[in-house]
Amino acid sequence: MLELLLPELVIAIFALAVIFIDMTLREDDKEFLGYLSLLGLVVALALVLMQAKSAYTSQLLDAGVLSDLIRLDLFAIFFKLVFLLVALLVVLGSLDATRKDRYKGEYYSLMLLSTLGMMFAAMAVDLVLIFVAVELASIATFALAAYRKNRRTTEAAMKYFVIGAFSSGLIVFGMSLLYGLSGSTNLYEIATALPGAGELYWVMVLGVVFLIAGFGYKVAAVPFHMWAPDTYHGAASPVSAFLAAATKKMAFVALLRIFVVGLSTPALLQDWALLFGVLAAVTMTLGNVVALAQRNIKRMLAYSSIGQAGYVLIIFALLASEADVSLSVGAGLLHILTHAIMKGGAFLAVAAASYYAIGSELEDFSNLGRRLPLTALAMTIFLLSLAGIPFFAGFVSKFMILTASVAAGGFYLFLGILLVINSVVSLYYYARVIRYMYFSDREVKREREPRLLAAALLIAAFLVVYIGVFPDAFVSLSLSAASSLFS
Amino acid sequence: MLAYLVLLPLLGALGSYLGERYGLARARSVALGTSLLTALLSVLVLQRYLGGAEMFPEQSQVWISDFGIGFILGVDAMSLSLVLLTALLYVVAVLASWNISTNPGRYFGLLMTMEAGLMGVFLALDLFLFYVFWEIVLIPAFFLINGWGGERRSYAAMKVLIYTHLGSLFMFIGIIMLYLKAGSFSFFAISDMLSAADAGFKSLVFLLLFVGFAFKIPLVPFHTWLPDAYTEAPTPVTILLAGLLSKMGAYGLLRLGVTLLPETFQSYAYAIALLALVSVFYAAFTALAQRDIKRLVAFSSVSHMGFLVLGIASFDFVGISGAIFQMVSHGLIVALLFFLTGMLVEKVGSREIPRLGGLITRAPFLGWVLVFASLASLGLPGLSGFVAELSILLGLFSTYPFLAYLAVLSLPLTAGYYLWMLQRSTFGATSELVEGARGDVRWHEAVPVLLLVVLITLLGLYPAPLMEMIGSTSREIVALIGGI
Repeated sequence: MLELLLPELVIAIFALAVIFIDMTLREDDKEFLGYLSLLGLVVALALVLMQAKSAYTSQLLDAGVLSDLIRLDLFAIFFKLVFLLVALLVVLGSLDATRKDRYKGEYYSLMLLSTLGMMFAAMAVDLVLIFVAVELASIATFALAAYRKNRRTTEAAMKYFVIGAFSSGLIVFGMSLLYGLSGSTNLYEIATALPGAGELYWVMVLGVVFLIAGFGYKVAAVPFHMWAPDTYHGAASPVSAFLAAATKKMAFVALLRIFVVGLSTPALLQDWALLFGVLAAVTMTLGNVVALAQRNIKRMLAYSSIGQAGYVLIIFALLASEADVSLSVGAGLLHILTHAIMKGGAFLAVAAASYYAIGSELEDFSNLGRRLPLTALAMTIFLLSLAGIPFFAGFVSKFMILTASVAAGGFYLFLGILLVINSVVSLYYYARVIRYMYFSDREVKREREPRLLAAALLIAAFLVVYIGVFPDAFVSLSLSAASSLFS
Repeated sequence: MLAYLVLLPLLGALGSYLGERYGLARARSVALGTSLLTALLSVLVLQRYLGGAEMFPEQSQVWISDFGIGFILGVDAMSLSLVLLTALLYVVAVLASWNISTNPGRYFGLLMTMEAGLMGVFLALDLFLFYVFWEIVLIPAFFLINGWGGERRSYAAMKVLIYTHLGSLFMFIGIIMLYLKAGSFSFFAISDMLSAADAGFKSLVFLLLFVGFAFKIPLVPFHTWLPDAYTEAPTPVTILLAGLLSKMGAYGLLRLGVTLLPETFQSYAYAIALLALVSVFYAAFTALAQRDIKRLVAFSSVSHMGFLVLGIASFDFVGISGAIFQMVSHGLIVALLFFLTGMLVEKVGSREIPRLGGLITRAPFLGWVLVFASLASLGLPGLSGFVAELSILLGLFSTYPFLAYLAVLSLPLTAGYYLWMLQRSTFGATSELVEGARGDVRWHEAVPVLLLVVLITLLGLYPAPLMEMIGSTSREIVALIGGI
């Protein structure tokens, strides 16, 4: 029973080990802590992969006495893989990107602790555990956002912290309303105990609205998105990669669990699905349109992240439609995976550029194709994938979301068409970065990429291309993960 | 075997990209070698096809099982003629790129990647695969225009990317609708499903698909990206854009619009014919006003593509045969014309018609071939364009006689702008610029030019073999609505 939590134990032990070993090391030797965290992540990833293998055959691993709190289904394992993969890439990249910085012990241990929180959030089926896990993951990232202390990171972290604390308050309030109505914090019990349409219906809707608003802040859905561009722009690039690729996805896993398992009584479902539909439409449109105006690549990536979160929000709206629910959720899951890799990769590419003190303005990227050929190539792959060009991962997942919304038909088709139009808009600003990287005349000299950062970029780029060319296994994994959520 | 038609150019792309570090010559000879090999392979495919081998489909493998997506490739007469055209025009395009000196590895790599995509479009019999190849063609085109184009290249590249991507995505929604109804992306499964589908659904799908094709062909009013793209792209890329990418649209219209949805197409045929007619005249009048010879050819190309669509819309055996014949013929002629504009810039240093006066005295080869190409384009009997346009008109006469009369009126217009252009440039008073023109012709210029000239003449004088081959496709198409 406890062995089911082995990956989490490993991460926890390594996180603590990093903190304690940090005290014994001289400043020059602290790079070791990065390698130690990397080792922890690799071990945990291997353990989760083994869990995935057995979950594929049995759908659900028995959690014994913990089964009121956690549920180790393929859905949870899918997200744990996403989080660990992102953490692995970011830590690998950070080994180079933060080489000249101090406080390495804190940096790596916070990152591991945050990952730990996310892994619990992926498995939690109890409101209290969900809240605690989300808080663990978030609080660690508040501190990470301030890493490499200067005016800009301080502003980023401050904004992120205030909004984060505020949104946590909203979430707790929503959760307490649900608890009051159902008398339980377990999602499965809530599902059966929630009253139907009656006097208390509006209290229930109020709870739902608070939850959507609270998690809306965490996924940076419009109109709760204001903090994201400032934070992603201000924070150190590897941290931005972690925030955009992992922390944001954690909010999605919590949302999916809470709404699909706990709140999908037929009456309620129609209402929140509509709310999510509106949210999705506004989020993707505003994110993409504002991204057009950005001259700073990190801000552009932040707004693109908002737009892409809008694509995932579509699938919540589709849950009320006639489309197959596992197709809709599976589409969302795959997009969460592919977006994590490509957006994380893109921020790491910015980190690789800033290693040579190359800024993140568009002009700074002029002729990056000559200066840092590998980084520029990887960035091109991430950007094309984000735009949804075939043979890259992003295309497959966007195709699935589009298929799900076309299958739903009616009003939902409108969301699909909006997705398509947004895709075209986004192609413009992604292509613009590529144009700067390859087609400008600025004189530059060739530089060698930092090796580990290059390795992280290559792994991410390889995954993006691999999923794009051989998507079969990933599509069926995300579809089975989705159906395990409903079983 | 057909998969190699896609793989070989990809290998060539990789080869020439890596070949750059060994110098320009290595990169371009790898590209030339693979394009020749691909051409050879496509001739072998032709031989097998004529030998009666089953090639529709030739191979099918599962790609994404959960969505019924397969890697299904096959050829019939129509796609085979386009495969042959692609292989041929690629040899021409590589030779036209002989003097590309900036980043040759990257250039030839992108060029050959595009060939893989084009081949894929013409071979794919799975609609998802078709769409994927269709989209992937656009990316190298974007980079090629952006990297090696004229002065306003980034604007032009961005425009072609965004416009045609928008069209393609609507097409994709149509394809997804077909899939959801059929449970598979396979051409054959969808075709079975459609025989029982209701008319409203088919009509919606058709319109979505049509938007994608109309952007690509392009038909007025979906053509606004074209003049910039054709003019700003480097010559070899313009050859490919006009010769092959526009054919993708026409091919899609025939393969998906007509073969899958014959009745629906028929109900919209008159409207499409009108749109095509507007294209023919609008582009012809605009061509009349151009000073830049490349822009003139670009608009003339739109006009001829309009003619092609007229042939498809006629839905008549002769008309559709003519349209498919026009795909090949227009591909050859427009390639020759754009090749010559490229040579003009190199030898004379300008594409402005008034500054090219007296070309024939200084550069006789260039001048006479330009005369030949213009005559071929305006439909001189004995050359391939005449055969195609005559068949299209004959087909149109039997279906929409009134439109056919109107279409005939465009012929003197076409003759007008070409002859006027020749009169001012080739035969006019010798201009200053032309005085200093170089009249020499190198082998890599002469070979493709003569190749195209010979083929245009051959197809004009003896169109029977190609017509006969095409006939099998157009007979099947017409049979779909109970004709013949």
